[in-house]
Amino acid sequence: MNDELDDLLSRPLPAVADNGFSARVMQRVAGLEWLRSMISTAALLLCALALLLLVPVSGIEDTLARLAPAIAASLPLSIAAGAIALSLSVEQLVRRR
Amino acid sequence: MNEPDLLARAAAKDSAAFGALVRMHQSALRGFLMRLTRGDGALADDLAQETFLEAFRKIAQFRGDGSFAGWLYRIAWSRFLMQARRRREESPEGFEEAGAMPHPEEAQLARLDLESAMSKLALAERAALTLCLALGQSHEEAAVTLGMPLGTVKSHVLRGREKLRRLLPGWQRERVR
Repeated sequence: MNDELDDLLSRPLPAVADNGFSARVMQRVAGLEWLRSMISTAALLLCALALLLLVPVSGIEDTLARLAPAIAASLPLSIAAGAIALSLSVEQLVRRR
Repeated sequence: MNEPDLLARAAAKDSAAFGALVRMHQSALRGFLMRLTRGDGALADDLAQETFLEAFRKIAQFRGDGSFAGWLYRIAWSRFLMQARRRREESPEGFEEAGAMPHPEEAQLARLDLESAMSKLALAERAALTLCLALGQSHEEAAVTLGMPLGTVKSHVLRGREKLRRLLPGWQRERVR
């Protein structure tokens, strides 16, 4: 009886037919994903709104206007920009070949 | 595509890969939950759905140190316990344990099939027997799944087997006939 019982217990569980179960789970997964993306978008919009309301935009504009000539005249920045442009062109060439 | 590839893609929130994993494991998981719920198919399916949803949410946390199926059974077990606790709160007699040794008369009345005999066992015995025998987990894996010490799992398996032997006295005779 012992061996018979062990045989009986060791048999795999009877297969349960899917009958649309997986589709229902995936429908709920899709709903979950949609909700998550909605929450992320809403949070992003709220942050942007708060930024617009709280950060003095005119102050940023003034700072940028003051810095722009210095950036344009900077030798290290020009070299860096040139290096980036050069590596992008070389990459394009290598890809074409 | 094999399971590790599907898991890697599902971790990157590829829902098609996760769908393939659901189809791959739904039968065993629902079977396990059917045993725990004593054949309540609707409840087992609800719990299986919740299990898969939690698995999808937490799939990035799956480290691969055990099997994915084992990880699913662990989630299902904790979901089942939460549900059982809620039910007990709603109606104290709603989800009573059948932990006591079966009475000889009860054994006579028990139907001669495994599922009905299984339903007479205590919850932990049903779970341990199903994981260790029908689902092929080692005692160590079952201990992790059920969150119990190894010795406790072994004694649940032994005690469950002993009770089944008492509950199924006529099973062998029935098969010979």
